[in-house]
Amino acid sequence: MRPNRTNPDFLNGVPELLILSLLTRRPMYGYELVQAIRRSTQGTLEFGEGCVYPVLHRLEAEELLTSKRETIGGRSRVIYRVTSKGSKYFSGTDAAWRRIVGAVELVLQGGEHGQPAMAR
Amino acid sequence: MANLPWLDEVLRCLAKHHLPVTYIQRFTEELSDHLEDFQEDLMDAKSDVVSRLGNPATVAQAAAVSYRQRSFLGRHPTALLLVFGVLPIVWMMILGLLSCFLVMMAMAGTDDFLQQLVLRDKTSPPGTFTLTAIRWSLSVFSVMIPAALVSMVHCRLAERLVLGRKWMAVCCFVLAILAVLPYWCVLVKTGPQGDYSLLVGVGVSIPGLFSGWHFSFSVLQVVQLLVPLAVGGWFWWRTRAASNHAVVAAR
Repeated sequence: MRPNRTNPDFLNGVPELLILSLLTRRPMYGYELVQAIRRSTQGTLEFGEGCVYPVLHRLEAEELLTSKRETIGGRSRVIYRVTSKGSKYFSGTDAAWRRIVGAVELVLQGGEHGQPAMAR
Repeated sequence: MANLPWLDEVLRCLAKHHLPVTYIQRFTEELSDHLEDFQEDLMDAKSDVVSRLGNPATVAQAAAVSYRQRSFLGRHPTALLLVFGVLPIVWMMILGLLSCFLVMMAMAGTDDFLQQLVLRDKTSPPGTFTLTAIRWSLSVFSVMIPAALVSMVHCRLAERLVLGRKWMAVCCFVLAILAVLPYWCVLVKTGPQGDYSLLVGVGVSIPGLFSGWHFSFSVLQVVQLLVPLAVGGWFWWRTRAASNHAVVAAR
């Protein structure tokens, strides 16, 4: 049986966050970005690589990214960069994500009632 | 170019979603670049294109969803029902009533226009051609033109936002139902005064129910029904043709 490559539904918005995070560090082209996601998450989060481009295009339409075709290593590629609006958006989303992760972690660790009780 | 069958399949799937040609071209160019990189950099010998890049249908679906999410309507599907199911009725009624009022004002304001036009003298009955012309004028200006305009605007909106042809169909069917309802009658009394009155009705009329009423149900109401459907059909054909063009252009 093939492993299930579908990520859970609650990961909606995560590709956008990862893309913005990686592109804030340096401009990249699509393939490079996909490899960076794969390496950074150690393969935990897997997206169909073709599905990254629609996300990039939408972020560009929302003016969070810009793109430009440039020649790199003798090949013409579309390079994506984060705009100032994108940087601000990422800061806000990053902070919100960390708050949510912290809160969920608290609950999963037992929260105010200590260890989860077993039903009798 | 890398892996043409996979890219061709993506292209075919993209065309089914009626995305704009420029977007399809751009997307497939980037996928082609990606495939070339992928084939140059085969780290995992067992990897195949579908398992790495995704199923063509899924990739195309993701592109369509992502493209739709650029617009407010694409992000709020419930608003679509309001915009394509309810708003056309409101526009149609406003435009129709306004046009009807203007046509009547124009008739009334031209020095007893109807009196002179309909009754050539006060004792003879009006000419059938004249009555038909009046009914057709009212129908064209108050129903057909507003229905055509509203359906064109909404179909164009659905086309631009890549909302799918079903919303074009919803809008045009709603307008067709609304357009078939109004009917026009000129009630003529051929008495000594030779007076007349114009009756605007809503509903399905039954020809010959009342004597002296000149109904135009059989022709006018059918034409009124067909106008928005024809506009919808034209847009339907247009998006289909554009999709075929997109496949050819992107190749």
